[in-house]
Amino acid sequence: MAIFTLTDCFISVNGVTLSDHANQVTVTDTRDEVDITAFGATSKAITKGLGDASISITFFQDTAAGKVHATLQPLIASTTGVTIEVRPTSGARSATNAAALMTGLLMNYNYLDGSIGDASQITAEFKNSAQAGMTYPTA
Amino acid sequence: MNKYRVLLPLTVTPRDVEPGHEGYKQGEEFECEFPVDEERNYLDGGLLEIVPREYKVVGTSVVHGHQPGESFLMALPRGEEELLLGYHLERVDAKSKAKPKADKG
Repeated sequence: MAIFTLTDCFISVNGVTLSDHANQVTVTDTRDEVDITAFGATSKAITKGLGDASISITFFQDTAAGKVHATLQPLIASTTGVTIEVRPTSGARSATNAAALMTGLLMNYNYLDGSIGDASQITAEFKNSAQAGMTYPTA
Repeated sequence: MNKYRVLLPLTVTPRDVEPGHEGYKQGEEFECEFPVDEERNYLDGGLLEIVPREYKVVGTSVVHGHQPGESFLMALPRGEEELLLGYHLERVDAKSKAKPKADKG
């Protein structure tokens, strides 16, 4: 896949496909920066510490049965990590359409967030909850 | 309640097993209501696997790649299943059990 524009992202939350209700996604995969500079050093030295990951998705809110609210509301009250998967396109996983896959907990859910005349959009932030962290399967 | 299959060469004796029962050995299946965390530990540790059951998509969204109205077999851990039942999925076996028996004659 060459350089591309995001027009057809695939977004799945706990197995529920919500691509047609989202218009923004951010996948974050980080490592802590740990200072290991010892006495006598003349420059700082760092290494990598614990990993962390998150996926943030902006949805158009929909309170109809089986849509955004019905999917996210149970998650904010739950301590069970669920699978969050996003892909560049709605095509199947492949070497050129690798998924970003994470088991996560919904940590922020703003049911309503907007002003008069706005489209009702909300942002759901999922934080990594499993040792696997963020993975990028191609199959 | 899920149905499980023992994967490792060990004997599993759930808390609610009948007195005198020797437990379940590798390859055997049993039904049990494990707490969500306990089930997760058994699955992650490779001791047990969930025997897939049939679900029907009852909501209006695609669930695990299946369109509304479709049925499919899947091994869903309890924690994830609880978050989907009702709005998105229903157990097909639970629905069929709930049907009243037809009158004879």
